[in-house]
Amino acid sequence: MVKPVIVVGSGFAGLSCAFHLAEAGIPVIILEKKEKLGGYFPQLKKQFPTNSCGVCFMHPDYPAYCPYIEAERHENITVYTNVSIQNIENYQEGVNIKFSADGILNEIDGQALVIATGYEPFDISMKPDLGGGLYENVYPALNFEDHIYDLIAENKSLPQRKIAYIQCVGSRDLKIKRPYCSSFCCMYAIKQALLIKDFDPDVDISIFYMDIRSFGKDYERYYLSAREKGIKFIRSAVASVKKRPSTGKLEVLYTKDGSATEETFDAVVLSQGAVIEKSILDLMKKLDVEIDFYKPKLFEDREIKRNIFVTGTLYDPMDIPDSAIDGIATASKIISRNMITPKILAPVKVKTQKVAKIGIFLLGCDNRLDDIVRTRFSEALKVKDLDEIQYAVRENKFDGAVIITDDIRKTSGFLENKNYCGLHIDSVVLVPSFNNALLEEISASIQKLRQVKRNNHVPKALNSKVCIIGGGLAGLVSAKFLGEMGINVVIVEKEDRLGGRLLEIPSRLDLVKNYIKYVEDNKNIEILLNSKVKDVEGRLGEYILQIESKEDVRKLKVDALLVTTGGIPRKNVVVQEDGKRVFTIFDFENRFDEISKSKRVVFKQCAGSRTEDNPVCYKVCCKKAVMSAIALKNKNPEIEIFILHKDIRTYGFSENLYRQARAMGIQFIRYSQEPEIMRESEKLKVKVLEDGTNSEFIFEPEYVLLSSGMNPNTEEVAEVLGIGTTDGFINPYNQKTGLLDIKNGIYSAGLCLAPNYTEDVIKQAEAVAVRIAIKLAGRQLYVKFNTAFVNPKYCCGCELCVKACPVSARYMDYEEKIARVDEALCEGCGNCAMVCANKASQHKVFEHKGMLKTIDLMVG
Amino acid sequence: MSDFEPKIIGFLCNWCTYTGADLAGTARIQYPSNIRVIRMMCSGGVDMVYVMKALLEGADGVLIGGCHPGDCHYQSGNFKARRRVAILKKILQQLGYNEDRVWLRWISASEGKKFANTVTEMVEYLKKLGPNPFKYTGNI
Amino acid sequence: MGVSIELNNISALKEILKESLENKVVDAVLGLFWDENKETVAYGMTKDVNILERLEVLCPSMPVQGARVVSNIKFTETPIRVLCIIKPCEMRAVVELVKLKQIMPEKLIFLSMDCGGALEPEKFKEFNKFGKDVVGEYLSCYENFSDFSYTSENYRFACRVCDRCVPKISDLRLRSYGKTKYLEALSDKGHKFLNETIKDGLKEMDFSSYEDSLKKIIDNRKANKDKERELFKKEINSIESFTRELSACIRCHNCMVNCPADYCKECIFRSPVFDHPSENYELWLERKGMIKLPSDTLLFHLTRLNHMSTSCVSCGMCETSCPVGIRLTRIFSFIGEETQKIFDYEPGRSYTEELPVATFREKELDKV
Repeated sequence: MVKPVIVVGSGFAGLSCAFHLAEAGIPVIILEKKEKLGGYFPQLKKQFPTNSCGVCFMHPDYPAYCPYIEAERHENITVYTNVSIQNIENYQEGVNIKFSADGILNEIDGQALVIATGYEPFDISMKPDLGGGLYENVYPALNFEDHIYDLIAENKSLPQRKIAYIQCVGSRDLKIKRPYCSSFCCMYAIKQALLIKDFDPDVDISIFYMDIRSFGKDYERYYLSAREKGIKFIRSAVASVKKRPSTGKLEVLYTKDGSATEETFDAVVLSQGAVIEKSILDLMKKLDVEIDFYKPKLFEDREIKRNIFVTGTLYDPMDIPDSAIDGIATASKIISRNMITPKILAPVKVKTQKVAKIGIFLLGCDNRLDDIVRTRFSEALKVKDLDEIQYAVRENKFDGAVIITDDIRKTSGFLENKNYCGLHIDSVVLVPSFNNALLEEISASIQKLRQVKRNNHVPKALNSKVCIIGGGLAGLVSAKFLGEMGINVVIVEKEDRLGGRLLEIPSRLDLVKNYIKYVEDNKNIEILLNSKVKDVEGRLGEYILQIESKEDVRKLKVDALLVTTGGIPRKNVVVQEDGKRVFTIFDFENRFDEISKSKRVVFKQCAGSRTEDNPVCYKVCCKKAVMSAIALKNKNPEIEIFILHKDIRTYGFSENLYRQARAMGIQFIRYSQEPEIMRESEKLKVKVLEDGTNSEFIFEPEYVLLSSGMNPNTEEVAEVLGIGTTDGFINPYNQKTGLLDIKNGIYSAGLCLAPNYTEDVIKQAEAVAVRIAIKLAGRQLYVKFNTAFVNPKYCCGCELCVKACPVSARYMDYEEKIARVDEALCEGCGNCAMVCANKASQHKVFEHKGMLKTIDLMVG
Repeated sequence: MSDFEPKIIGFLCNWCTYTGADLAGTARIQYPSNIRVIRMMCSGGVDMVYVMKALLEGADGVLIGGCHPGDCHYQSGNFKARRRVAILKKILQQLGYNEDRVWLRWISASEGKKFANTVTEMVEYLKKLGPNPFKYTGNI
Repeated sequence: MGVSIELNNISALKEILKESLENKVVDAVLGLFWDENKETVAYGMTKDVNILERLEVLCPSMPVQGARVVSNIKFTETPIRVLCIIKPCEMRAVVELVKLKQIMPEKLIFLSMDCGGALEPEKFKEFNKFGKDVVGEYLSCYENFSDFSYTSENYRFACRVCDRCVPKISDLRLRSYGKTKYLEALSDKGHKFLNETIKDGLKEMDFSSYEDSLKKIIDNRKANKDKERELFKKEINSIESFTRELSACIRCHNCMVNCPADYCKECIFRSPVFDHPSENYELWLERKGMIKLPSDTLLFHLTRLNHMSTSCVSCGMCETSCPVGIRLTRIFSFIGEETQKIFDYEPGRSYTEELPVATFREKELDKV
């Protein structure tokens, strides 16, 4: 028996860790302090940078079910709520935890413990100088979102006409001993501002900030759109917020162009930072883990003690996409210590197409409803759970069932787990009890069942083979995990060696060489060098690739594709580069000695990025420049270093590096007007106009290092696979919760997806490998409950349904000239049925004839 | 016509509006019982034939509920539905039939209150409008 | 603009077609052919040069929708290259069917003409039977740049109000008005055809005076259309008046069978879905007191409107084929115009324009 994994905390990171562990066949116990699962995610009405909701997207198998139901229904997940932890002890083989849940003491012995307790929003009453806790119109940002959303939902106008957002409340603040940056506050403030602006463009919004840190995928564009919509961004620290008693309005005091300015607002919103709860700090103390907020990294390793892991915002302040990936990456560490145990179901087979005997079940309905149903359907049986249905089906030899349930989505999830209570998948109909025309719908459902033609579905067999396109770091990391899990991997690499760009960076050489060695030694991994994917056909489970190498073109059948084509340093796009004295930071390590001997060095950030024609932030450059500058200064304390920047985006605990750099005398100069780099005979000259003070600086540095970032290397692969890109970066299925999934059967990780740090690329690669592995490890895909079907007699092959399918479950059978449905992939949305004019394409549950009848009965 | 109680058929998307309606039910937010709900997986799966069928059979109004633009669980079902509904409404309008008997509304899973408000509003509107002309004619 | 060739008369065009068959530029020619008795014309296809004598390029008849003929032959499978001579409205329908994968245009070359309209089919047959030189008259009207369909009640309603009688997108366009006619290439395929068939005489030409004269004809029809549209809207202003118009419908499905935009292999209304069990009738009787039979006529027409109005090319075949004289052209064409306007879509305008129902924009239709 596999020992369970205990996950403490059920926010986004905790749940996504738990789901992926559970899907891999490892029992999971979720301990949640509060009454409900989900953390802060469900409280957020809209998500940046898409301004969409997205709660329904969280399951590993999405598009599927929402996290709360999913956690409850998953056979491998046990949930405890209202938990308080008493004691944690770790030992060589596992962890022991004592806790009370709903007041009852429990003790569990698990193989590992994952702490994903996340954060608490900063208590604004600790900042009374900003009006926090003093005035009712000074809001904490989290509450303000509820407030505005309620108004928007009811289409009421906003009473606050002039709103100020104050950033970094509880972050980057030494006075209250919170030196780190909380990473996501800039983005949520912009989101709220945009929500308000979209709803009512006349509301005046100002955001007071130090640096805008919109560093994630597509975030810069989001930030720019906010500027375009007239949201004012004011770079200034706010000194105080005071209420004027006569008007009730708020006076915000700040410095503008060097002089103190006062402005009146109707409301002030404080962008609260992330704070680690005191009980967690105590827990860490008990576990003998040192917590120092002034270090550049809070935890040295994700596994803080043997068998105890931290993940999510506790590990490092991060937003939702990163939390999701972080949770899965943590799961991957635990999964690789076990193995994946896939779920095996045996689909029920039937001899006849027609349903003969139908049972009617009332599942979890109240007595009043039971009586109503029994007046017309006296044979209806009242049951407590699906086990009772299964028993009744066996006893009464039912071969069809109408189940009236008060929670249709939960029931349909459980049905799948219970293998449809011994019934054929097409002979179960669910009827929601919450329905004004319940009796009519029950009779319509019975009719529907009588007409249904059941076929025996064969699960779609997989050969558990993945093709990884690109043998850089991301590809190698994924290959390693997949290979360990016994999944066959083919790495297709364009160049003549594995390793990609990291081979050019000395400090990373060992890391990448270790992975290469592992991959080359693993029997499950095949490596094709000097090869390219020329053509792709098919879908999840049956992709057919044409792989071209120097010698030949070969055909390859794989289940899934992973795109890890990585990036190329943006060298040639930066016009000022001459390679000798002006070069990109990518070459920094190779020329470190040479540079460190010089007197003066200038780092120019955002070289050719965050401009009008390239509104991309390459995320890593700020930290890299700061770290490089510190390294130079350590080697040669005499060296003068200037960092020219637009915003310094050292988010999370890297903020401590930024502070350290400033303390070391490294000078930071903010520009908005492009600095000039001039060459006069042998001398270099840099002219820059400082933002804010408007003073001009001219330096004569020996070296200028340009931070230009990495371009994604996706042009070819995007065309071959037919996937969309933005600024060259691959578009995911869902930017918020499904960053790694491109479409059904195509995954991606690494720099081709978004600019990222090496550590984060590894994290993504591990996470995506888990997602692929849990899908393929079972070696078969089962037919789902609600699917579409095609009547070949009526299909005329217009391909509208193929275009309409959101999950690529539709394909053309060119031999028969008809469209077909891959039932193992179909999610049953019915979009294909709607576009089909003559209903050659229909949905099993919403069959046309049945629907017309239902409507007929409903009108009554 | 003061005692006229309009009948509304609601085609609600499983992910957003149906959950919203469910929330209205569990949170005991009051709304008129004139609506009869048919759960669809996605607003993009609501065939306009269903809407027309409901109207021809005498339903006084049809409410199609979907996720907010951009929130569709199936990426773009609601956008497709919006086009379909636009076409249907234009046709009805051209034929001199009050196209406002068909409502397309975006109601998310957390907007139980909005669902209740929408139904209340729709019932009031339909009461003012009077019964569907198809209600009493079989000559169609 | 592409190159053109000058033709002294319409038979010069036939010579070109013959040439193209003999030189194997195309394998067959599809168009309207006279029957043995010279009473009526029907679509046909030939590779025999002699049979081309019976071909009528400019012919005031439209027995069926040409696009439907082309899609019925399932040129998807054939390797033969066919030159199809069809009217502009049929060409528009071809474009729509290409988008719906019902026609694969790779092997086909389309020749369309500046069209003078077509007679009602029964009139066409009647006149011919009684020895009237229908085609001769038709051709002389062309020569004089005069419009006949505009004034004559014998022409199809759709043709009388047709303001899109000029092919915009075919491979070859026959500028059929005036004494001298011109064959113009509108596409690369058309250009290639002319190059391969014709030795000399190909050149770029200026047609501005031709266009001016043509514009007058089109303006007349446009005015006619506006008048008719207004009349129609006044008349069909309530759902009662609409049901009255449809009351004669016997649900024979002729309108659908002949409509090029109704491309389905078999309509849902002809499938068992609409074979209602008697209990349904019982329910309806209970509810409404009477049921019109055959049932679902209104639902049928509304469904058709929903499915094809955005692709309606205003060819009027629905009305031509209606046995009970329902004025379907007005209903479908005028409503189609409105639904197309929503998406700024024009059927048959371009091969690349996506069908409104197959695509969407994120920011559109704020008020629905």
